[in-house]
Amino acid sequence: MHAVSRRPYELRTERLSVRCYAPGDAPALSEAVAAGHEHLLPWLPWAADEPLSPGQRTQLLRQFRGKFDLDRDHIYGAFERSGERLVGGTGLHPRIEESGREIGYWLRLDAVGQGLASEMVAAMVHAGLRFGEQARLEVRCADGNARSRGVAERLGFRYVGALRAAAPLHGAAPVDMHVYDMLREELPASAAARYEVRGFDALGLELV
Amino acid sequence: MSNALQLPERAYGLRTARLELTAWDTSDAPDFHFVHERDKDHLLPSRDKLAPAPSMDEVLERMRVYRGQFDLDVRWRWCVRSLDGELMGGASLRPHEYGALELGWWLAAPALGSGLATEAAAALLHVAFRLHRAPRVEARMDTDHDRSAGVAERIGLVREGTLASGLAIPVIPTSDAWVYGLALEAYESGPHRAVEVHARDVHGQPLSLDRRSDEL
Repeated sequence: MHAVSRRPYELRTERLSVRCYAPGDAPALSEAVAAGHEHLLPWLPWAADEPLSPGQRTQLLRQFRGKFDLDRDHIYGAFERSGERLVGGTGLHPRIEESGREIGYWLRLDAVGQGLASEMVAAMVHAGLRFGEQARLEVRCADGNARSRGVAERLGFRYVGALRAAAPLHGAAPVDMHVYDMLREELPASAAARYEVRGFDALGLELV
Repeated sequence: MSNALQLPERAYGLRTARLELTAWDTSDAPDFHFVHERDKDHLLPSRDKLAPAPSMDEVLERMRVYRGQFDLDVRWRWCVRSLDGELMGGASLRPHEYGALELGWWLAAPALGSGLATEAAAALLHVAFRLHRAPRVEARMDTDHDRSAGVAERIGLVREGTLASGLAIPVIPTSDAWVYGLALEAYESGPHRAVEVHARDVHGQPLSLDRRSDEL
């Protein structure tokens, strides 16, 4: 049995509901990925496996929800609060192991340039440092992905440095990986703290 | 694409003549909590890995684990409700060594003696052989649990032996356990064939359970 603590299954910001996926989200996720596959392909290794069939997408979402429930990985979909369109994906991933969680994120092509990635990632900062138990969060961006780096910088992440040739790119040689981090005690003074974010548990009850 | 993303056929929902079985969800937590508080004395000796009645936070955590294990195909547990929605108990299938599936069940106190455990267990026996293609299904219960043994026998399982204490049911280390089992060949010719079960997949779409083993 896990330690008893109520995990944030949903974060609500001004424009977004960022929540644990359900298998029924398969059509919405497929539509969002298809809407800008070429835009995702250079930066996201999983985009090379697209398009998935409806069955594969459903199985992927069973795995996302299962891993979320068992605290193996926390992967969220970001939905517009008006209309329920899926605008992107994010998560608190255990890839950096005991040093904290890594925030990953992507945005559908036609949602770029509206501040939605910053809003989505701010939700993850609150999920990890305020509602969750993380002491440190990290963001990693491949060299050349200026938009992604801009999100980390606008939210107040500290630039740690560049890992040389650590970012695999689709169809190209690896490039440098830029690493940013934020500690729990740095959240109140950060730009991420200025986003109003409400958290809700697996029963839909608000977390305080 | 690796096989990891092949969608297996999983019965997230099952309907029998009197019961609706659904994969446990976090939304079931309040009812689970209520029943385990109300029926604490009845459920304590046999229920699924429970010590004193769990708190609401512990129940919610348990529901997360149940749902996560179902989605990841570690173990499949269903919430058993009457057709008007009252929580009547739970039932489960768990993979064992060499492809066998272990069948488990529990009933809320008001449902005792109604045949509902038999109805739920018979439905899962069908799912185990027809959907999961198990070569064998077994059930274990401690040796003072005649009521549970009766369920196993009514759905056609056969008592195969007694396991020594400490081996069979880890949460009841002082008890010996009966082992009941049934192989696919015996199932095909047994009375369980008549059970009416309608299965639904993760999207609520019908799943066929009508295949015989020679069609699998």
